[in-house]
This record gives sequence, C-alpha cells and structure tokens, in this order.
Amino acid sequence: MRYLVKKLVILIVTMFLISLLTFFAFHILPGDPAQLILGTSASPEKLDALRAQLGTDKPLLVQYRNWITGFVHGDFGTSIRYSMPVKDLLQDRIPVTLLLGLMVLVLTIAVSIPLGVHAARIRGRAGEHVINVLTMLGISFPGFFLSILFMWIFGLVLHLFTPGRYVDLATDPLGFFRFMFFPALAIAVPQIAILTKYIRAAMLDELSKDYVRTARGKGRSRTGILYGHVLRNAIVSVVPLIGMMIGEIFSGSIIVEQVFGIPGIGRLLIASVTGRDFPLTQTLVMYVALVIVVTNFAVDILIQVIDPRIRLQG
Amino acid sequence: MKKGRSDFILGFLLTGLIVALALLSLVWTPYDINATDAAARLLPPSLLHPFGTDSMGRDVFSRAITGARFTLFVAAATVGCTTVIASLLGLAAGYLGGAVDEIIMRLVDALSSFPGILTALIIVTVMESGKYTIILALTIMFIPSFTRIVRTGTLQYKDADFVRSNRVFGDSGLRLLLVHIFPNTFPLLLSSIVVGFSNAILAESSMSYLGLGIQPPAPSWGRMLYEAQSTIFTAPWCALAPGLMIVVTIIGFNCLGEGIRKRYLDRE
Repeated sequence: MRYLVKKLVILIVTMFLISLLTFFAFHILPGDPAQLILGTSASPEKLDALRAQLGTDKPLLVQYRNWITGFVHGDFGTSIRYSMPVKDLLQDRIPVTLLLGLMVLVLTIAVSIPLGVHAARIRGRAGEHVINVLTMLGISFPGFFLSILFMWIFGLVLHLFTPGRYVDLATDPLGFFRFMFFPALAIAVPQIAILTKYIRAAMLDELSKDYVRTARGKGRSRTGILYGHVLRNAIVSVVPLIGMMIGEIFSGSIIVEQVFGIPGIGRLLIASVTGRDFPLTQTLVMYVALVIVVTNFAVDILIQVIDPRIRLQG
Repeated sequence: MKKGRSDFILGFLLTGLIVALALLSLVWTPYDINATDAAARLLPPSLLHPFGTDSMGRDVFSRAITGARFTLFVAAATVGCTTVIASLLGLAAGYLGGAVDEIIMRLVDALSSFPGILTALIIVTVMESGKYTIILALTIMFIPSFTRIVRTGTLQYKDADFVRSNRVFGDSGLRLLLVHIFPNTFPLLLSSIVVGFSNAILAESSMSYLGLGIQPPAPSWGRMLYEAQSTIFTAPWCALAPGLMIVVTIIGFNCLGEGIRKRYLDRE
C-alpha cells in the first residue's frame, strides 16, 4: 500500500513536470508563435489578433493555468490549421494508433518469447550466431527504411497489400488488419530484436539457479523446465522492459504512420509540427506523454502484483 | 582471442569506411551534388554512376557520401554536447547529493518519461528547422541517459578507498571529482558515446525523412529516402543507397559499442 501511494505521488509529480516542460518549451524558446504562423510579412494588427486568439498576449502563468484547467476538463483547445476543436480531431485517430500499437505489442511478444527461449536453449551452438546476427540487424534498420522496403517487397512485388491505400476499420475490418500488419511489423522488428536478447539473457540467468537442478533431479523434461519454471521467472524480469517499449512503439508509429499514410495520432502530430499548429502540437505532446506515463505506472503496479519480492522491498 | 575482438574489427571497418567516404566528399565528389541532368534521370547503377541517378538526374553516389558528412557532423556534435552537459549534471548530482541530486534527477526523469522524438518535435516546432536546431533537439533528447550513467559512476567511486585517501591528503573537492572520480566513469560513458552515435544517426535521419532535420539543398540520407519513396518500384537504388548507408553506419557503431561492452564492462 505504501508502495502504491509512493508511486502515485511520483506519477503526479511527473505529470506536473511534463506539463511544465511542454508548456514552457512552447513559450520560453525564442520565437513568437504568432510570427511563426503568419510569417515575417504579417501586419501588426493581424499579429495582435492571432496573439489574442492563441492567448499568448496574457501573462505566462495565466496562460498555463488556462491551458491546464482546460486540459483537465477535456477542453483541448482549437487547432489553427483545421479550425476545429482538437478533441474532435483526436476522436477518429486515437483508435487507429491504439490498434496499431496493440498489434505491435502482440507481434513483439509472440515472436520474442519463443525466439529468446530458443536462443537460450541452443547456447554455444552455431544457430546462436544466426540469432545474434539477426538481432544486430534488427536494431540497425531505421523504421522508415524498413517501411519503405516492406512497401516495395510486400506491396509492389508480392501484392500482399496496396501501399498508400489505407483501409478503414469500419468499412473493411479484415482489409484493415491486412494493411496494418506491415506497418506493425516495421515497428516491431527492432523491439523484437531487443526483447529477444533480454529474454535470452534472463533465461540463462535463471537456468544457472538451484531450482533448475532440483527440477531436473525430480525428472522434469527439459521443455517442461524451460517453459514451466524458467520462463515464468524470466518474464518477471523483462516486464519492466515491456513498459519502456510503450514509448518506443509510439515513437516508431509516428514515423511509420507517415510512411504508410495511416491517419493516426502520429501523422496528426507531424502535420501539426510542419504546419506550426501550436495548440494542436502542445496538446498532442501532452496527451501522448500522459498515456505513456500512465501505462508505465500500470506496468509498475503489474510487476508488483506478479512479483511479491518487490512488494516487500517497497 | 581477446574478448570482443571480432566486434571491434567489424566496427572499425564499417565506421572507417563511412568516415573515409565522408572525408572524401569534402575534397572530391564524382559529380556536383546538386547538378540536375534531364537526360540522365533514374539511370541504374553503372560505372559512370556507381549508385545510379535519382529522378532529377543527380548522381546518387555523390549525394550519399556528402550526406554521410552531414549526418556524421550532426551525430558528433550531438554526442559531444551531450557528453559535456550530462557529465557536469551527473557529477554534480552524484557528488553533491541531497537537494541538487533530487532536482536534477526529477527533471531528468520527467524528460525521459516521454519519448525523445516528442522533445525533438517540440523544439523543431518552436524554432526554425535546420542543422543546429536538430543538434539542440537531439542533445536534449540524449541528456537523461548520459546523466544517469555519469551519476551512477560518481556514486560508485565517491566513497571508494582511493578517493577517501586522497581526501585525507588534502585534495580539494574539485580535484577529487575531476582527477579521481570522473576518469573512472569513462568505460561506461565511452560505450554510451558510441551507442549514442548510432542513436543520433537514427534520430537525425528520421527527422530529416520527415522534413524536419537537415534542410535541402544539403543532402541527407533521410531526405534522400523520402524523395526516393515514390520511385522505389522503378528505381530501387535511389532508396537502397542511402538506406543501406544508414544501416552500415549503425551496424558499425553498434559493433564498436558491443566490443567495448564485452571487453571492459562484462564480468561474465
């Protein structure tokens, strides 16, 4: 319980700091938002009008207070470029990015666990080198290059999907998953490489412990020991890594959504940055940061539930 | 064989190759990197154009090796600035402890709790895009992890016997910090610097791909890939050349990092 309270306090402090960092980044760094949006040739009257609209003519602390109270009440401000409430812009896009992220997570875990266990099992044999080389390659391909390669190979050469033609979930669910599989794979590849390495290391660590010898002495099969005892303990030590991956997966999807033309949060974010749509960028950054921090919090709690040793320490 | 030797050899070969090409582009490129040639559009690789030409008839090889220079410059500047700032922060946090430590580490935690690319995007939104903005953005993005490493190292050696004995002999705090503690954090720091290079290259090329990094007419690998995307089916070399340059560079730095880790840090 004390652990939970402590974590909750840290969560709130972190959120507060993130809101400060996000807000002041937009207001302290050199450059006047109104000027950047309208360009250098804008008339002073127009600049003043836009400043009033953005609220940048008020003192900083008042601006911050207004922004935060709005945010807490679900009023995310109005986008300049789309001239519509940010909330409405988010509504259709959140499920798309969320599903993409979920697909990546499932794909990563489904591939890494058997691969990591296998790598631990064949330690010291030739096959281990193949896995080493593959994981090294996996972390060396930038997401956008992989995406372009996938579009070329799976889309244009093998015709497994049509590049550039996004399929809406509501109109054709099967087509949606078929299209989204490839961007999900492009984001998942480096994550798979990292997770496989960690699972292998965690498995080897566990395999050297006494309980493995005992289980073997009792006559359990190798596979039974690997999956029944060792993997369960190894998983506990990689759960924190999966928490960290949430952020990585989102970073990946910002870029990959752009390459594949997927109408999600990432693409909206890039459009807001290139279009200098300050209210939109500010809200998106804050929103995404919140989602990530809260997910990490949830993972921390989860670890606690599955591993009582940490609960005792806290 | 010494631990990690094969990683070092491969790492030095690959990074050496890329650095050599980047240096070569300073004094000589086969063609002018911005010279367009309507008659030589989308030519496949040949002796005249080793990596072919792009949709504007520009020589891909010349652009790719010049791109190496810009990318390596951004990466080196980023890692350099990060190392200096993070070392100061990490030493201060670790050595002084107390409130200073608490403030620095809470800020570092907040900064690293959201993806680095968001930090970079905020900075690019507020400032003009370009080489120096991207260096600033990436530096801020990398400060948390580097600071943690230096702080951990400092904590580890702050109360080590040799530091205590030097304190007894009257060494000042600053001398203890710079002469006795800081050099001991090098092996850990060095491996982060090398891995930092590959992360910086990944981040820079991603930002340039999005049009938010190095600005044209300066060639960058990320931008070249963006431009080549629409002709990937008819002229794959335009995308493969910069893409594989990125991959080779990153593998090179990762191998070096792995070598350092195996030789100096693993206690297996």
